[in-house]
This record gives sequence, structure tokens and C-alpha cells, in this order.
Amino acid sequence: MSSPATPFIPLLILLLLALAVGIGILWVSGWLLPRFLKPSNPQQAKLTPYECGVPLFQGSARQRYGVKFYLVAMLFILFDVEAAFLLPWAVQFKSNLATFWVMIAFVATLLVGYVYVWGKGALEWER
Amino acid sequence: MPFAQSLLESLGRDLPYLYGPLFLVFAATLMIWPGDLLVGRTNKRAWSYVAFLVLAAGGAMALYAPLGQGFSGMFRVDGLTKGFQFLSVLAGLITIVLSQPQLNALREQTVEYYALILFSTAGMMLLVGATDLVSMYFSLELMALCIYVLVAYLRHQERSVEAGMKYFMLGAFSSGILLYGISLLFAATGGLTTNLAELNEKLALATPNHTLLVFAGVLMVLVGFAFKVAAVPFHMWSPDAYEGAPTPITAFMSMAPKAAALGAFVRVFGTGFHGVSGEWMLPISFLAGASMVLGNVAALRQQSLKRLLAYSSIAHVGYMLLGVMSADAQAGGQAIWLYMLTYLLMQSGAFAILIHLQGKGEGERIDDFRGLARRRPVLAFAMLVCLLSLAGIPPLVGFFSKFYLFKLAIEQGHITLTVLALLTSAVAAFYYLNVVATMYFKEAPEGELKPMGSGLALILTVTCALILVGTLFGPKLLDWTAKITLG
Repeated sequence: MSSPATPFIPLLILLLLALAVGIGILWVSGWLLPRFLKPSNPQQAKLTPYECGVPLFQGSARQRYGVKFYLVAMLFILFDVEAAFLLPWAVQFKSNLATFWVMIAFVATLLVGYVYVWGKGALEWER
Repeated sequence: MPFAQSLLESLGRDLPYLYGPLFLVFAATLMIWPGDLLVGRTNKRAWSYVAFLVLAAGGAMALYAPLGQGFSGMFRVDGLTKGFQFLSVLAGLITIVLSQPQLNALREQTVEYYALILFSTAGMMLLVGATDLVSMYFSLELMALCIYVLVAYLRHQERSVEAGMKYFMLGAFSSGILLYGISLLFAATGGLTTNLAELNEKLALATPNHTLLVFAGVLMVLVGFAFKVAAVPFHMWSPDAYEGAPTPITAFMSMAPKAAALGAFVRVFGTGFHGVSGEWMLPISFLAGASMVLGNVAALRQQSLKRLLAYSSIAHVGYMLLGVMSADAQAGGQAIWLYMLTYLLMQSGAFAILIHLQGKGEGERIDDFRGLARRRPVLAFAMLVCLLSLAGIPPLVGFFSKFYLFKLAIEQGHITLTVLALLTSAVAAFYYLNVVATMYFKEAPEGELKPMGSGLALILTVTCALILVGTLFGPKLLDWTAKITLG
């Protein structure tokens, strides 16, 4: 019981467990469950590097494609900044009503924007 | 919870300074949502009345705001702030009225148009009171971002979209330069402050050791502002953006953002960079001189009245830079305020007539004014008053505002530049009188003119009346301005 590695044995067990859980989840969701649940419908587009529907550039980069991607990207950045702002706030948060309500006011402001975007149909892909 | 208490206390103390712009922002947000969802699917035209009332109420709130400084030195309400806030609100109100004929003819009435005008006006109201480089930058962006969208508002017209794109690209680029300049100045003070009053002391101390850093920072802020007010050689976007934008938005751009940006310009350079005025006096005098010469000379050859007014507004900015060069926020601010007020009156009168003749978005050439005096003598006379006042012909009010600006410049010792300003004003008279000659001495084309709408007629009557009345009280104007802007 005097080996210097002794205190790290729980850590090793934890590491092995984490690996087992990770591989297990991958195996269950990637192989076991799909065998029973997944419809088999292979498509070329599913193999593209960016699984968001943008056709891969091959040859000329000067093709035209939908401006809708930019709309989604802009909206994504808007709400991404919100998340980037929420995180340091949450880390620094100490039980304090004023800081809480200040952030609620900020999120409520963004919520109005979100509802507006939704109401205008900017989140609908096909219009 | 001392922090919470102090936060709430300082909010309660400082919020009254911002009631005007805050009200505009809240009301505009409510107009977009849920206002538009609940009310206006059928009659979008009603939103113009709502926006007009909201803007007037916001302006009144700003006028009755208490005097003082708040938000840890970020925002300051004084006479100058209120004066420039008044100009922005007035320009916004005029723009809403001027927009009606074109928006109705093109069936482009939406609530977003008015909300963007309100947001942008709120940005201007914050901008002219900003006493910190950071709050100044944020309000500048709030103002500019809305105007980029407004320029590209007629999205089915290619030239409107093109103008919006050009303006956006160059505007975003210039914002980057401005921000970099601010960061250099922040570094030059040792990373201590961006507050204008403190910056003034710190920069004077930092100059011997960090001459290049201070010089580069001040120069970049200068370039950023020169982009925003369209001073030569940073004016390239302005004629295209003015020509492509919907005409009422052209009027808006030539009045409101210009007034607000010049107000901030004179405050930043008069307060914050006052101590290092040796660094920026020469560059800014080159900007002013080049704007006067190129603006006036290029305007000589324009066939389109919108482009002519764009180039002439570049020249007017050149004159107003003389006020910034006084390096004194109060005196320079007063002279610029008076100049901007009279410019706003003349410009809105001229644009009312232009919009009336323009109809559905065509026919803005100077040739379209042929024989206007015979077809519509009253309209032609009103245009004559506006143009002569713009040219600064002596009895009219445009002469007095120019006179006070040039007097200030001479008192500050900028003799050469003032002589240049006088000479280029003579050139300006030529192209303004060219339009007058077209109206009075050329044969009228065939066809009937439709009667003028009541909104445009109201604006035209009021502005012309004010120009003529102001003419009578010319010598007293500066005293009144001093009273207003001292609060």
C-alpha cells in the first residue's frame, strides 16, 4: 500500500469508466438502436463535410447560393453573443437580486427580438 | 447588499438624463412587436402618425431633462446636448412627413421604416451627450446601423441596394479605424481612462513620451469622424449613397446624422483632445480646405439635383469643420449648431420641392425644374429662397450663420482657410443660381403638375417662413443661440 501510484487508482477507474460510458453511448446510439429504429435512406448530401445543406464547392467558388444561409448565420451570431454574455455572468453570479434582474432585463430585450424574428417568419426555411 | 443598493441608487439618479432616448427605443420596440402584430395588418400608413407623436414626445422629454452628468461620466446633459438633440428630433419629424408621398406611391409603408428612424434618432440623442469614447462609439453605431438599412430600404430597386451596400462597407470599415484609434489612445493613457475630461489631462501628460501613439490615435479618431460626416478625402460613399437612397432618407442623412456627428466631433475634439490640439490642427485644416474646394467644384458639374445637394453638403461640412477647429466645445458648438439649424431649414425646404416633383422615384434632374416659375410661381419662389439661403446671399439667414462661423475662425487665427471658404462660397453661388436660372429662364415642358400634398406644403411653408423671419432677426441669432446652448 505504499506505492506512490496508490492515490491515483480511483482516477484510473474513473478514466476507464468514462471511456466505457463514452464508447457504450456511441455503440448504443450509433449501431444498436439504429438497427431497430432508423429508416434506411442513404443520400449523397448526408456525406458532405458540413451537414447544413450548403453544397460543397467543387471547381469554381463563384456559384450562387441561397441568401437564407446568411440570415440564419446573422441570427445565430446575435443569440450566440447572448450566450457568450450569459456565461461570465453565471460564473460571477452571487446571490444578488440586482444583478439577477439586470440580466433578466437583458434577456427580455433579446426575447422581444426573438419573437419578432419568429413572427416575421425569418426562421422558416421554405417560404 | 451594498452593490445592489448602489446600482439601484445610481440608476434612479442617472436615468432621468436618458428619458428621451429610452422612451424612443422602448416605443419603437413596442411598435414593431407586438404593435404591428396586434394592430396594423391593414393600414400601415397609421404608423407614420404614431411615429410622429412618439418622436415629438421623446424630443420633449429630452428638452425637459435635468442638466448634469451621469453613468460614471459616460453621458452629460448640457445646453449643447439639448440643442443638438433638438436638431436630430426636428430632422426626424421632418423626414417622417417628407416620406409620405413616396412611400404611399411605391406602396412601401411598413412599421420597420418608422422604427428604424426612431432607433437612429435615439442613437443620435445619445451620441451628442456622450462624454466617453466608449459611449460615443456605441451610440454612433446605433445611429449608423439603422441608417444603413434605411438607405437600402427600397430593396426592389437596384440602386438603392447598391447604395446601401457601399455605405455599409465603408461605414463598417471606418468604424474599425475609429475603434482602433480609441484603443491606441486608451493605451497612450496607460490603460486608465476613455473619459473625455480625464483623457484631456492624461494625453497632455503622455504626449512627450508617446508622441507617435497619441498622434496616431487622434488621427484615426479624426478619420473615423471624417467618414461619418463625409469630409474630403473620406467622402467617396456620400454622393452614391445620397443618390441611391430613397429621397426622404437622403434628406434625413444630410440633416440628422450630420448634425449629431458634428456635435460629437466638436465635443470630442474640443473637450477630449483640447490639450493636444497641436497634433490634429493641421490634418483637420487640410480636411476642411479640401472639403470646401472639392465639394463646391464637383457640384458644378452635376446633372442630378440629389447629387448636387450631396456635393454641396460636403462643402457645408468643410465650413463647419472651421467650428471644430476652434478647439473649444462651447464656442465652436454654438456656431456649428446655428449653422446646422439654418442648414436643416433650407435643406428640408429644398427636399420638399424635390420630393414633390419627383413623384414615384424618377425625375430628379435639374432639367426637371425647367420653367417652374411659369407653372408654379409660388413653388419656384420658395425654392429660390431656400437656394439663395444655402448659397449664403447676404440678407438671408444662411448668410448670418456663415458669418458667425467665419468670424469665429478669424478670431482663432485661421485667416487663410477663411479666405478659402469665402472664395469657395462664391463658387457655390454659381451652381445654386444655375438651378434658379433653370427655373426662371428656361421653357417649361408639356404636361400638368399635380397639386402638392398638405404635409409637404406645410413643411415648405414653415421652413420658408422661418428663413424669412430669421433674416429679420439675423444680428440677434447668435445671442439667442448662446442662450439656448448654455442651457
